[in-house]
Amino acid sequence: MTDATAADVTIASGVSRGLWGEAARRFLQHRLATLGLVMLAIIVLACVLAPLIAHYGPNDIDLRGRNQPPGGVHWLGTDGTGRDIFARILYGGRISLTVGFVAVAISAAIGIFVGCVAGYFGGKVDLLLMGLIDMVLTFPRLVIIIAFVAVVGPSIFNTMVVIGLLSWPSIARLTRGEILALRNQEFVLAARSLGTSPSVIIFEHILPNVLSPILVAITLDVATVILLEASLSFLGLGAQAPAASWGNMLRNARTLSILESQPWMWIPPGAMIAMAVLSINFVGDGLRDALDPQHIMGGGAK
Amino acid sequence: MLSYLLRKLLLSIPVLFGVTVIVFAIAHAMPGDAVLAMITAEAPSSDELIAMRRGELGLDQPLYIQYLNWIGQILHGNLGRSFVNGRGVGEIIGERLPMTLELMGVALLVAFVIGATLGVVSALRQYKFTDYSLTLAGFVGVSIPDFFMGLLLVYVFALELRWLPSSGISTAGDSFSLLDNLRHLILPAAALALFRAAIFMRYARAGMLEVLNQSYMRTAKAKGLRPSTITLRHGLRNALIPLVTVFGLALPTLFGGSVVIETIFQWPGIGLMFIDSVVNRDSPVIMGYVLITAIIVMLANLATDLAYSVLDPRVSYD
Amino acid sequence: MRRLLMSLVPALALMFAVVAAKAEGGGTFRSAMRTGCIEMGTLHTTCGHRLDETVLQGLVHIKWTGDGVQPMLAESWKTPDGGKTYVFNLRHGVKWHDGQPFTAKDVVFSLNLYANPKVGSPWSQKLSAVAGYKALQDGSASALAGVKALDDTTVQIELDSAKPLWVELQLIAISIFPEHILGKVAPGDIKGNAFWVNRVGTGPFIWKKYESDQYVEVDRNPDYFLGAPKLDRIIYQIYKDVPPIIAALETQEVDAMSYEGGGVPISELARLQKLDYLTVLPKFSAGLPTYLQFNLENKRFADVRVRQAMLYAIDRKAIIETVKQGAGELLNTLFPQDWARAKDLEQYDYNPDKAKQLLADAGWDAGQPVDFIYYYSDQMNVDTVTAIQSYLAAVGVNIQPRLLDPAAINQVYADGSFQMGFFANGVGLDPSLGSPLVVCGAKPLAMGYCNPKVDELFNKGLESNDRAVRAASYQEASRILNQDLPKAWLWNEVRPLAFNNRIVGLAQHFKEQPLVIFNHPVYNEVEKWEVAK
Repeated sequence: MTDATAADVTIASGVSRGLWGEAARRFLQHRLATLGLVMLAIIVLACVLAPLIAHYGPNDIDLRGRNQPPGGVHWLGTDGTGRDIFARILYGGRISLTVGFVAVAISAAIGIFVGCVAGYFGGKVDLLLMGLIDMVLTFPRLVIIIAFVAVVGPSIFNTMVVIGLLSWPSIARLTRGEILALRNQEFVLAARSLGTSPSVIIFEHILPNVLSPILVAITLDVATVILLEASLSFLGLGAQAPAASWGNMLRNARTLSILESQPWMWIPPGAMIAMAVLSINFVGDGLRDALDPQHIMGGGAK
Repeated sequence: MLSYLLRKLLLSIPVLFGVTVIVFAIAHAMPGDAVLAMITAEAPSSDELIAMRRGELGLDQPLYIQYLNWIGQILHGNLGRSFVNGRGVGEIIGERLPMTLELMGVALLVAFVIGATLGVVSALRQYKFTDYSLTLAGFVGVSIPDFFMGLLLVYVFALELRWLPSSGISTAGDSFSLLDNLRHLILPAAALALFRAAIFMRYARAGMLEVLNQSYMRTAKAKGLRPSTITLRHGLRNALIPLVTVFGLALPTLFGGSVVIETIFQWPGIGLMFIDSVVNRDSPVIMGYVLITAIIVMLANLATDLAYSVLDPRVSYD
Repeated sequence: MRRLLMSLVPALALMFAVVAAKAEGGGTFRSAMRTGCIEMGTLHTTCGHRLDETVLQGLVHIKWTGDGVQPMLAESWKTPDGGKTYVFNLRHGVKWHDGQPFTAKDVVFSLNLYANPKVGSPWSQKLSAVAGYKALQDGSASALAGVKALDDTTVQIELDSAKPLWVELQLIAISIFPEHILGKVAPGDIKGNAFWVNRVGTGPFIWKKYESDQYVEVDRNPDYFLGAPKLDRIIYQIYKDVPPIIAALETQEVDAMSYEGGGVPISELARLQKLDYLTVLPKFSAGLPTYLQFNLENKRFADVRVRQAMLYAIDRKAIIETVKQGAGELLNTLFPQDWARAKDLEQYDYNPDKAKQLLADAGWDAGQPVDFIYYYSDQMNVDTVTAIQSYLAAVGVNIQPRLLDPAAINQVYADGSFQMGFFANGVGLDPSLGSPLVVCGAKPLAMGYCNPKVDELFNKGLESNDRAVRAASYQEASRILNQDLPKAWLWNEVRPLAFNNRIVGLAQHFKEQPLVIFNHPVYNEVEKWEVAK
């Protein structure tokens, strides 16, 4: 792209389609990534189709049939109020995954926007935004979220929004760096000389060319946020009873007798968290290798 | 170099100022204040009493006055007094910070040693069985939330095997002994470390692979130097440099993680204090905690930058 | 690297080895205690209050058996006029732990400290019956006129009117403080004063050391006026959360999970009962009526049929048998005390059809969700709320539970921004203690309920100290509260306690106690306990 001219810009989309196809091929060659994608697809599908798969509602209690081990009727057993664990895993997955995806969508939107603005305009705007980024980055995220949730009250919606509002700086920083590297490229300068508006230049010309590292970061962030929700729910600050989330189901394991003799109450949510995070990390890793062949980092940084 | 540092320091002043505004806003937006938190059903209270106590704590003044008072105090090195027990916030944090730093420091060190070692081993055995199993273990390691790791460790090592104490920082009432303290430290530190060891391992492996693929390594190999000499003399140093960055990045998440782990293990550090202060709406303590952690993170980032430039001559600052 | 690892191995081995060899030297009793608000002090909190029973002492204490009081710093007392004036004869020769003599002046000082508005103690109302209390509150007097030291060992307390049960109900939880120390502290600085982490008292144990969020150590007082304790020391181990206490009890890192530890969660009961070194008292009445709170200022709950319907809708028996594993006694009115309850109360047996009918008759709007708050976050209580929610949903009451911490709960109470809630309040000591839950204008717990007849009966109940006479008033009140349902009464809470058999006397004592009571001394006679050989 170093010798790009204004003419190249018009064919940029065609070029990138070819690159994406190449990337998809490389991704599918990555065995773990493919496995991750398949696992993730199964998990997401199962959660989306929960009403069709589960025989019970997630909140249907059956006090006389509580604490039942896995069996033919309740595949994964029942919990302390006789609710079907399998149903709760699927419906809980909806919440845990939604938190992951929505919070990251929020942070990605803010992060990319801030990053683009800072990187493209530079100067004082950049200085100001970088100050903001530094500021948010100095806060331990979980700590601020705990304080925030104490302010707005614990609920899934609040959790998602708060995580989203606090998680954008790393994406913003990444985006800014990428934009900075491109903004004085000839194809950008050319577009600018033609009087194209900054928003068009940023979002139609520059962004598509720097999207791949951002996409990788976003993917890996989803995994982090799922873990974060689990920690919050563990502290009682995430999804509120009776709604299930993997995190608050795992809270059962705090009771020693459940930890010891009723493993069906905590192994499934624990396994689902691990599997979801694992598959997302596999996918992120695969994406990195596919989109950026020179890069041999291990990935998954927090 | 020096001017870079100075500029960074200067830049951190407005950032810190912003931090104080945000911290203050959060602490004061919380529903229920310290006065209400102290009322229990067992100790009924009248409206007049509540109003009087609010007045004592300055909670009846306009917000910006409360903020200015707080900032004024901070500039005098005074973080204010806890609403709950009247003690100086700086004093409380000063007492407890060392315990949290002990926990975090040991966890970080263990994570670094394990992570770096396994990462280098993994890279040297690239595409062999060891590499695959370590990589997979690393993936699993970052998929298990640290609080859950903590619960499992307590269950196995304290309750089933009875090898280690289940909670606390030392045996209550006994005179301090390092051995006793370390025994109490093992489980919480391990719970914090394992997750991070997996991250260090990935970076160490990647760094080592990068080094191994560089031309001077290939040259060294061609000269007939034995692999172990090559790796140790040339590779290791360069491979581990990126870990310095990870060290810096790990700090904020470690503070977050220590809040959860200190709660599970009744470790009397600032994380436990923070959770208590949130429950008690003890805003001076909440503000003090966030401010101190933010400053520590900032200093750590600065130190990371500095260490990076010393370790890696390729990095230069304008 | 390798060398470092090699040197670590013996160190690790040593650390593991220490565990097995660990044995207690003398007589240390380790008791679990929740939270760490000891620093605030006795006058401003309940949670560190029980420490006072081992270090500080009161004039009198309630007996183990809960029926009557026993003399402590006051050797004897009499009331010549049927409960208006009390004269206390103090013990001779008692010394504070720092060697200073204890005198009647300390008593006068302490009562004034409780009542002083500048101190701002929530407990000051315990003294509201004392002559001159109001004058002290409004600033027209600087001390309680009704409290006088007649000489070094005699104190006279005069009340505004005769209260025959005043000593039994109000005086028992008032500690006596050393004037020679706290007298030098400005009233406004009492809260959080350094004294509270270095208490000087007259009790069986002497304050030794306090480590925030870790423990309080108190050592044997050989000069204790009821005889030197057999134990060398007591260590109160402080925990924020219950699960670590259960683990520590199991590994014998603590000896007792008594009331100040919060009691053993029902879900862990079976596990602890299997351990032969523990005595588990599975059904310990907590004197804690548990109920659904209605915000009666909200018109939705104004119709009594709506409130009755809620009770018919919930299968309380099933919840007690399953989720609560038997740890609860069905209750259809406020009073957990048998003698205070009428025998002919409406039982509100589970009947969802009747509930639906009542709701339909009352014109209940099922489409509108109900904001529902609660604050017990342990598994059993969360499960209970889940069950209640499910039962109510079945008849068209759609509650949306919100878990709040104490500060938020108090805020919500204060501004009335909730509709329903799941709560419990301790009234175990005496039915009269239930009045803040139901009398007119009682803030915040009555939540808009007002029935002058109930108020009258509560007043009448305190006019005599004859239980038979009092019972008539409370039973009448219990009937009204059973019909009016200002709250949907659910059950009387039962909490299991657990003790290590290592401490002789401890579990035995609790076995003799009929119920645990809030703010009720649990450590009197602690001087008789000892570590088993």
